[in-house]
Amino acid sequence: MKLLELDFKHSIKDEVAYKSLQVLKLPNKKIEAFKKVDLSDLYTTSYEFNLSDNISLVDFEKYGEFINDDFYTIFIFNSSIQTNDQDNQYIHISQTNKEKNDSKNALFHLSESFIELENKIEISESLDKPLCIVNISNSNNTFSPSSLHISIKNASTVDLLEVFVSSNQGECFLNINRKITLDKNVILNYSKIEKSSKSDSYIFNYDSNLMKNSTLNIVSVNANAKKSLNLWDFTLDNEGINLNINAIVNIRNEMICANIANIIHNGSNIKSEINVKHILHDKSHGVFEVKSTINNKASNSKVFQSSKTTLLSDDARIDAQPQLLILTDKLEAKHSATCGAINEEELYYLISRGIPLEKAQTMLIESIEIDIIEKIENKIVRDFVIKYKGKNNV
Amino acid sequence: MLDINNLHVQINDKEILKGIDLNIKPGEIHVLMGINGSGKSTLVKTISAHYDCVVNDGSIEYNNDDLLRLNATQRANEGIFMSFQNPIEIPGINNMYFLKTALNAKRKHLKEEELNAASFLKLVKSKTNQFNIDDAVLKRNLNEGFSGGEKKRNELLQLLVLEPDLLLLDEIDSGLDIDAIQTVASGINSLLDGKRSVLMITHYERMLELIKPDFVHILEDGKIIKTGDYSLALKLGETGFKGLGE
Repeated sequence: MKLLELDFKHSIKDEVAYKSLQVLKLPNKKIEAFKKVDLSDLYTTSYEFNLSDNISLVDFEKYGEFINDDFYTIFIFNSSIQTNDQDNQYIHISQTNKEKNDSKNALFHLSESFIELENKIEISESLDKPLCIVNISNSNNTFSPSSLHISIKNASTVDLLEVFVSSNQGECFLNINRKITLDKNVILNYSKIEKSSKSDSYIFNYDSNLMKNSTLNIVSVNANAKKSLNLWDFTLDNEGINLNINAIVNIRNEMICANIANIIHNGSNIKSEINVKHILHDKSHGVFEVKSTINNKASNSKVFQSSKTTLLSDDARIDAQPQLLILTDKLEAKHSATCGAINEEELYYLISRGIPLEKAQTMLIESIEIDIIEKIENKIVRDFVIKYKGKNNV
Repeated sequence: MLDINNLHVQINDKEILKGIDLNIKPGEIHVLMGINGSGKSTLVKTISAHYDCVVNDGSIEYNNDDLLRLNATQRANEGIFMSFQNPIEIPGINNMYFLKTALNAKRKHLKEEELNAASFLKLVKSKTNQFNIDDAVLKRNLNEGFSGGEKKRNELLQLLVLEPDLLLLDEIDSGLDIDAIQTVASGINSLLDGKRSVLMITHYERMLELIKPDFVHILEDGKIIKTGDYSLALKLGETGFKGLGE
């Protein structure tokens, strides 16, 4: 079945989401934010639909690297949530009726239309160790929609790592919704890393409901998907919200990775920062399309946007468009987009000490990545990501 | 060890070195002096294969081999070390990791066994203890946030660990207080075993008192105009460069 004609009526579970999808229509190049990202191949490929009516059990032994004393671990396999005996009274897993969602992101509604009940992980107190959510995909030429609502109440700080592990065959399109709800004063440190198959396309649709004085720190480390999009859709209504998104994009061959953000400041004293570093090899393509709107009631806002790109090949390409729409007088705002090759002086310093050129280049690339990964607050999560990423390198 | 003949070098289409002849034998200490812009740094950078320096004419032989056919990495692993006037900061690269990688690259080049982390740490600590270098620098990123003096001490640490045969010191004493100059000079002197050679750029008498040169060369407009021994440096201290011509 192909997505383009929305010809999957018999699979619809959520009529409301399906109707929203029909109104909004799947994004194409005519839409400003998607001008540089061609999704038409995703819409016209004939997929099997993975709608997870059958629950397959996770082979926990196979994923032993995620099961240890350092984390609480939850597995999501074909949209079914499973745990191996680790238990915590403050982590509640359920399937619930979905809340109404006014997202303008048609891809968000695409996944929602296939899902009747929503997977929800609710954390009701601070955890003594990080939570690791391992999303496993093992399909063949499949479109896999999924949705997870992460809700944090009463806690002061929670560290959460989501890992996306794929052993897919053929062309697979994973359209992944993540809704994040944070109670007042909650801090969520959320990190995400993928280990994809070469022909995977991932779209991550983020939506949120952040209460007063809550903080959402996101660190995203992309890996080796053919096509990877992070759609950050945040409407910040409540006073004192702090939103920080840091991402590293290190891609090769003809991969494309896009960070497309629509951040709206409606409340006062809100800070949002999005900072993406791109390392682009071969014929890869990075996209940074970030629009921050600061409405007239959003006084004392702080808004920062930054795209830094290191091009390692003449054929690599970056499209960076940071945009600020400012409708208030009192704020601090900054945006930048820079692009260049590896710093020659830094490279020379290393090779003049006898380090071979290729190793020196690798060290400098790793130093760019580490700069983002070091934004992960929790040491256990940070060390895991560094180690896991080392295994991921092409 | 090093034999330079009629060396002409340009940077950005401008000729800086206009026919340098210089011979350094094993164990000798040579000093380059001259006003700013005379070509001193260009000479040491050229020997180290700096990307800015384009050799238009002349030759450099190192241990009877054509040095110009070797790239920067190869020259370093053959024993050439240039300390930078202004060492660059590289955030995100741990200083210890960098040093271990450099040492093991050299050891691999020399077909020696690479050191593991424990052995390497032991080696480095022996150097930092011997010369009173704060080993906290090992935990930091390469030169990041270092003061000028700390950067120079980090250059010294690299020298002590890598043990090069030809030391090219480009104002290694600049920005150092009296005690720090003493530390740096002690470290360099500890390496001088009669086989290692030094080509040093400095403006300061104090450094020359501590590392007594065998030869002093005065550069002017890309050429060596005068060569002498330590007494030439002392005379320079009295007369300045302008007074030398008289």
